[in-house]
Amino acid sequence: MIRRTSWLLAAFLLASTLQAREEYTRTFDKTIPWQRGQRVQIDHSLGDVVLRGASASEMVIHAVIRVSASSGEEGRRFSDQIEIQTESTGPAIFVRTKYPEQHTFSGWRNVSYTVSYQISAPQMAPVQIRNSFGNVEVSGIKAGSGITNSHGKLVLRSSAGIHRLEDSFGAVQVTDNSGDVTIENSNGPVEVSGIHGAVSLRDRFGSVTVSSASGGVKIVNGNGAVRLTDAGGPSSVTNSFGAVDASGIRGDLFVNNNNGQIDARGITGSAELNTTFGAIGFADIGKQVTVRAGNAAVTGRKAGGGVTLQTSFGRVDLAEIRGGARVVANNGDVVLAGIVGETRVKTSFGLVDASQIGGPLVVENNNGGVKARDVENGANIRTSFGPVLLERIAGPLDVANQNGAIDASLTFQQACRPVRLQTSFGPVRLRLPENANYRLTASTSFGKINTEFPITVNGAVSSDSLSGTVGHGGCELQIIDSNGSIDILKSKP
Amino acid sequence: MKFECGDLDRALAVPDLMPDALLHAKTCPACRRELRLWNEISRTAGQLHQEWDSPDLWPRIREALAAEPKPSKPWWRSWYWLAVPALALGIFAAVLLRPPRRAEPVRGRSFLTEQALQEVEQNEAAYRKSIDKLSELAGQKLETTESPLAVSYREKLVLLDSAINDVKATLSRNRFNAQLRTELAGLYRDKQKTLEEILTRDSKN
Repeated sequence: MIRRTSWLLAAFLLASTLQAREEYTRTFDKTIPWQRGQRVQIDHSLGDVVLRGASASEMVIHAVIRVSASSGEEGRRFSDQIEIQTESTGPAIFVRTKYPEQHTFSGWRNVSYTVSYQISAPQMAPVQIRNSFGNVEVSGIKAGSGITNSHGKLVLRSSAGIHRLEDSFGAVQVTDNSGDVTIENSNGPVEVSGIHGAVSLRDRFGSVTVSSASGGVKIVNGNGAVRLTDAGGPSSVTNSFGAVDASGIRGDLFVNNNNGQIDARGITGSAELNTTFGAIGFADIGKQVTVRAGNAAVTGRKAGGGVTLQTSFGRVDLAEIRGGARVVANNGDVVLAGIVGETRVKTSFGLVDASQIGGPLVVENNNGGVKARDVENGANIRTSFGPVLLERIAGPLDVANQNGAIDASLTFQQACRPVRLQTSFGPVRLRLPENANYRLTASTSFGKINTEFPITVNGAVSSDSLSGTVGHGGCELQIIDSNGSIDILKSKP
Repeated sequence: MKFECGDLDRALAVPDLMPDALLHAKTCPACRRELRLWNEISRTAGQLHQEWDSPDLWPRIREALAAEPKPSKPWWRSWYWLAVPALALGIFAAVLLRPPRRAEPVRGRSFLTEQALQEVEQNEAAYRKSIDKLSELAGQKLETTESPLAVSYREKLVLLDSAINDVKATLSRNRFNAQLRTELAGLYRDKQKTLEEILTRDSKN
């Protein structure tokens, strides 16, 4: 068996040898003096271009021409017809690759070829390269470039100046450049890092990663994930069908995404974050935050300014907001903690849970409960078909509920802070400090009024209607219920 | 034909059956898992593919052949003993008749051999046929929706088809160029992945 295998392998090798094509290789070398102000322009296709900037004031071109043909002689003849044209004019040194025509009668139907360049160019020369079907790798140039490639990788390293890079169907990589960089790609990933300048980047169907840019970064992408870290200026990301992750931005951040999540952290300026069908998370934002989302949950921690937020069908969870918060959420829970300023919440079919609210709290809910604790500057609550549970509320309180209980406890306050509680088909339980002073009006139907406070009654007394004075009176306390009992209790110490 | 789980192995070998397999997999979790694993293995295997020069291979084979024990049969009945000198002669002739090359060594593999090209073209044709079937399935799904995602996928497929045609046109004048072949294979893989995404997303919805 082993013998047979060996023989088959040998026969295969023989067949391969007989069918083998010849590869012919020749080189092209030329050195061209460079004059200050001249740019370097290369027009090429079907092969790699490697260009390195050097301190010398000459351009050194080394090209390797490879041809595969049925015979070495055919390869040699075709190779001899491949021209490397060089020309030095006032404004530029041109390098062009010219391939022979391959029409039906040219006799070159069975020939394949590639030409690769290794070029050393003066580092102070601006560089223009146009290539296709090959990689382009440029490094060490100081006067900027314009590079267009297709169907090949494009790499720029350790350079300076303003660069404009275009590619399609190839990866683009840029590392360590002093100067602004503009990149356009259509169907390939882009990676950029170590830019002392601004970055403007447009891609269509590829992932984008930008890290460490001293200037602002602008990214427009579609159908690909975007990751932006450590940008030194205002930055923006437009994307769709891919996640956006932005962190360490020294300036404002604007993100407009569709069908993708957004995660923003460590933004010194303000942040505007818009998306649909993807969760939004933010943390450590220096100034205000604006969120517009649809079908998206939103989670936020630590913002130096206020938060304005609109979403639907997703939970909102905000904490440690040094400004106010305006939240419009439809069909979702809203959880707020540690909001320094005025807090306004509008939602439906969800629970509102607010705690440690420094400014006034205004809640408009439908078909959902409301819980609030430690509210320092009054609360105005509107809801239905859910309980309202309020603890340690300071300031004026106005609650209007329908078909739900109200349970509220107030902290002691010297100044007059009127209280109004109204509901139906649910009990009302109000806890007041022992030394509270109110002018009480309470009424209900199909329920009783019970109080732990001594009341100085005015007018007629009945089990479902009470009017009188708590303590020294003065400040208005109105409780209206129907189909529910009313309890006015003393707060537990 | 009614596709059943037992037909899956055959479908993996016969590209024409793959659309039926994909349809069946939409309602069969076990086959869907098998297909996903197969795709992952195929992709991984493709990435593991490597070519290298082996100048010492033939001498080692020749030594191994020489070192093998003599056959128990009479030597004239072992026809391959006649073939070995012929083989050696053939190689000798090939080496002798080969025209001298310039000194520049060929770095990497720039061109395919004739045989490799034939295999690549055969595989490409089969692969393209499978992708065409996938395209038909995905195309039906895409035509029925105007969602932004569907529009985006259509745009990507147009872009990929345009690029594939571009590379194929260039390849028609440079058939043995390995870089172009690699580029074309990459575009086909991208297209296959895109089509699979379309079908998978659709089945998830």
